[in-house]
Amino acid sequence: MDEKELVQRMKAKDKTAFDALYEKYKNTLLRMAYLVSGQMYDAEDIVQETFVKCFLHIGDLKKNEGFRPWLFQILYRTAYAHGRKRKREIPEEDIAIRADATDGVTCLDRIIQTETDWKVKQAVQSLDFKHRAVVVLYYFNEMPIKEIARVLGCTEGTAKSRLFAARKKLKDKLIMLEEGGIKHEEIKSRTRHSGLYSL
Amino acid sequence: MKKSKAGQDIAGCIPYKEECRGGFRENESRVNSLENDSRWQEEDRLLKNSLHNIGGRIEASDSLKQRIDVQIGNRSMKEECRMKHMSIKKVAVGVAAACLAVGMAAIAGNGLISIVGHGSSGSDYTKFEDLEKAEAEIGYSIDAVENFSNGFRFEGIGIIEQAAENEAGEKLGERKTADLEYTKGKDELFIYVSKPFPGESEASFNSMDWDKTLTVGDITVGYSKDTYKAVPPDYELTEEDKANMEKGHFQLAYGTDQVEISQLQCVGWVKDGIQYSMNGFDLSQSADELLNMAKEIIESGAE
Repeated sequence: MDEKELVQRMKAKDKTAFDALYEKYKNTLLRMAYLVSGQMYDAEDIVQETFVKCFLHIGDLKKNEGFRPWLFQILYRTAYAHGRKRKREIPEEDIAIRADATDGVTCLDRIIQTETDWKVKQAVQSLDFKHRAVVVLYYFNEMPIKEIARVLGCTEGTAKSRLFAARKKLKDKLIMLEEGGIKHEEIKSRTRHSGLYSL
Repeated sequence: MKKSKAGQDIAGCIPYKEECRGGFRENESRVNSLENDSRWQEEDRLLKNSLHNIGGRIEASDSLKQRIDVQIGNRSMKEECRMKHMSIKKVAVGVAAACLAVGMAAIAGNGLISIVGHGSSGSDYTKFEDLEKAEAEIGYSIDAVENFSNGFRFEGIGIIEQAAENEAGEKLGERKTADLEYTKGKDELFIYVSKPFPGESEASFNSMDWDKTLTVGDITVGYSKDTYKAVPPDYELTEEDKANMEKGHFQLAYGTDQVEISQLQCVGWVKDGIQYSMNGFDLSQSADELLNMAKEIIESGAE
C-alpha cells in the first residue's frame, strides 16, 4: 500500500495505517531528532510527541502526498519547543542521570565511533537550532532547498542563507577542532569517569 | 557546475546577500570562490558521511512505540471530550474550568494540572421534576429553581463525570457534577454544580479575583467577565494572547475548527461545601441581573 493511501486511512482513524507509517519513519525521525537535539533521551521525547501530534492532527493535512514534509515540520517544531522547554526545566546535573535511564542507544562509544564523527557532531552541536536543522535536512536527509524551506516554514532564500551560514560556521569549527581542539580520546576518557555523555 | 552530495546545486542554492556585508555581485563571487575551494567538497562529503554514520547507528526502541500508543489513547480521549463539549453544547469543560480555575490552583501544590470530563452531549434529565434523580446520581443535594424571575426557563440537567489528573496522567480524584441548562430567547445559561476534589480548597474559590460581589446571608457571590478564545488544536499563541493572559480575565481553550472569540460571564459561590458556577457566553444580562439570579438559587435552598 502506498503512503498516500496509508495517510488517507489514518485520516479515518485507522490505527494499523498509523502503525505502518510509524514503522516507515520511526528510525529516520529518531535519527533526525538525535542529530538536532544531541541527546538520545531528548530525541525519544521529540519523536514520541511528533507521532502523537501526527495521529491526532492528521486531519489538518490538506494533501496526502505532502505527508513527509508535514511530518518533518512537526518534528522540527517539536524539537525547537522541546529545546526551549528543557533549557528552562532540567538542571544540567540531571542530564547525565536521564541519559543513563533511557533504553535506546545512548552510549557515546556506540554512536560516535570515529574521531571524525565526533568532530562533526561537535561542530553541528555548536550551531544554533535553526542552522543545525538546515544542516541535518540538507546533509542527512538530503532534501532539496525547496523542501527544506517547506519543512522549516521559511522562504527558499532564507533556507539557502541559513545553509550558507551554517556551512561557514561548521568549516570554522572543524578547522578549530582539527588544529587545536581537545582530542576525542581525551574527552571519551573524561566522559567515562564523570558519567556525562553530553559533550 | 559542482553538485553537492545531496544532489543539490550548491552554487545555485546558497544566497549571499543576508550573510555578507558587501553587494550582491561581490557576495556571489565570494560564494563561487568558496564552492571552487576543494576543502568545501571535502567537507561536504565529510559532513554527509559523518551524519549518516552517527544517525545510522540509532534504532527506535520497542518501548518508544508503547509510549506513543499510550499517549495517543490518553489524548484522543481528552480531545474527543473537549470537541464534544465545544461543538455540541458550546459550553465546554473549559468553561467550567474558567470558574473552577481557582479550585485547580488550590490543589496545584498536590500536583493537579487538569480536569478531564466525560458527559453526555445532551441533557440526561429534561424535566425539573427529575432533579431528585439527578441528585441521587451525583450523590448530594443541590439548590435549583425551575424558572428565574427575569424569564430564564429550565431546559435540562446533564451529568458529567470528571477526574483530576496530575502531570503524569495519574488520577487524583473523581466526582460527578450536575450541569443545569436554562434559556431565555437566544441566551443560554449553564450552572455547573460540583463537590471539590479531595484536597481542593474552598477558601481559594472565595478569594477569586471577582469584578463584583454580592453577599447573600453568609455567602459571597462573585461575578466576573472574561474574554474567551476558542482555538484549533494547533493554534500558536500570539503576543497579544500572551499579554492578555498576563493581565488576566482571558481564557483560552483548544478544540474548535476556527478561532472564536466570545465574552464569558461567570457567577460563582460555595454553599454547604458545594461549588456553583453559572456561565453564559455573550449574554444580554448585566452583572447585577446575574448576581440576582444566583441569589434566587441560594434562597430557593432556604425555602
